[in-house]
Amino acid sequence: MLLIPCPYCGERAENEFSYGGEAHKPRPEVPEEISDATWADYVFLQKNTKGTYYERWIHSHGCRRWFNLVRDTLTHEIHGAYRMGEAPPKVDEKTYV
Amino acid sequence: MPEATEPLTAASPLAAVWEPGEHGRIGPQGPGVTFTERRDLTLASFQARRAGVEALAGAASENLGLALPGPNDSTAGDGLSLIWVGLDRWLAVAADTNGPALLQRLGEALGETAAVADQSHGEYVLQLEGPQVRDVLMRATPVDVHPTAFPVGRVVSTVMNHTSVQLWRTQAERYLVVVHRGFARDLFKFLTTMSRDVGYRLP
Ligand SMILES: [Zn+2]
Repeated sequence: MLLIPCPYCGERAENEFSYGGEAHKPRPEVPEEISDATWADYVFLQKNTKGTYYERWIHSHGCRRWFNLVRDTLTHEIHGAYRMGEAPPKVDEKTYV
Repeated sequence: MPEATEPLTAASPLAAVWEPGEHGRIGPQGPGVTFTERRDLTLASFQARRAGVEALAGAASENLGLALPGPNDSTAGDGLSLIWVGLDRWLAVAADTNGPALLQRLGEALGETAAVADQSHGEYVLQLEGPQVRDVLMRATPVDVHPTAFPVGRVVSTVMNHTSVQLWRTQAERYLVVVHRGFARDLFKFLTTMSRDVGYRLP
């Protein structure tokens, strides 16, 4: 089980949280003016990096806040958590093949 | 039209499953944990309004004589405790069953700085107390309940058996679990199952 450092509550067990997918994914400004393919890209496609990944989590059984996490999706190493709107921590990014 | 039959009376959500006595494996020292329904408390939630948390904190300390607790913390005064339940949200717990009095007290004390709502009907408080209460909690929650990590006064919003709860340590061997009333019976069955090994008492 992951120990996730909620920026508001501190370190808690993974089963208090829910996953929100890729972070920093800009929502198209005017959805009705883009093609279905571009919208589908936004809704369904994620980078799904094998390595350093910036992702959203919500502390659903705790403070009920969304925040961002930097995690290595292969090793599960957690590089840090930061609040919505804050800049991510500087991380030595890795990708594996 | 038929006349209204009987006046509404307060009922415990555990009435059908509460069997007074000692259960599970009772050792020579007696039950490891005793469950108590804390229906002697009144709960109200409050949240900062537009004026912000600082204005609310000022009103609380000036008019209630209580500091607004920070994350995972509580403050206690004369018959009234405040517990942190989330960002800019708190729960006030009064040691009596007079809901209107608590709402009036909070309303007068906090005024325009907070939105206050009675939660006594919606929340249920179960007390676990005894020499082996920590063994039970270690099975029931992923939260670290070691005394160095979970001192008296600490309160966390966490999960037990897929249910959101507030777990609050009010004394060395006493913890209160605040849970939505509709989940109380399920959580009670879960916690008593977790307690069979240390033996438990229902007064
Ligand atoms: Zn949190």
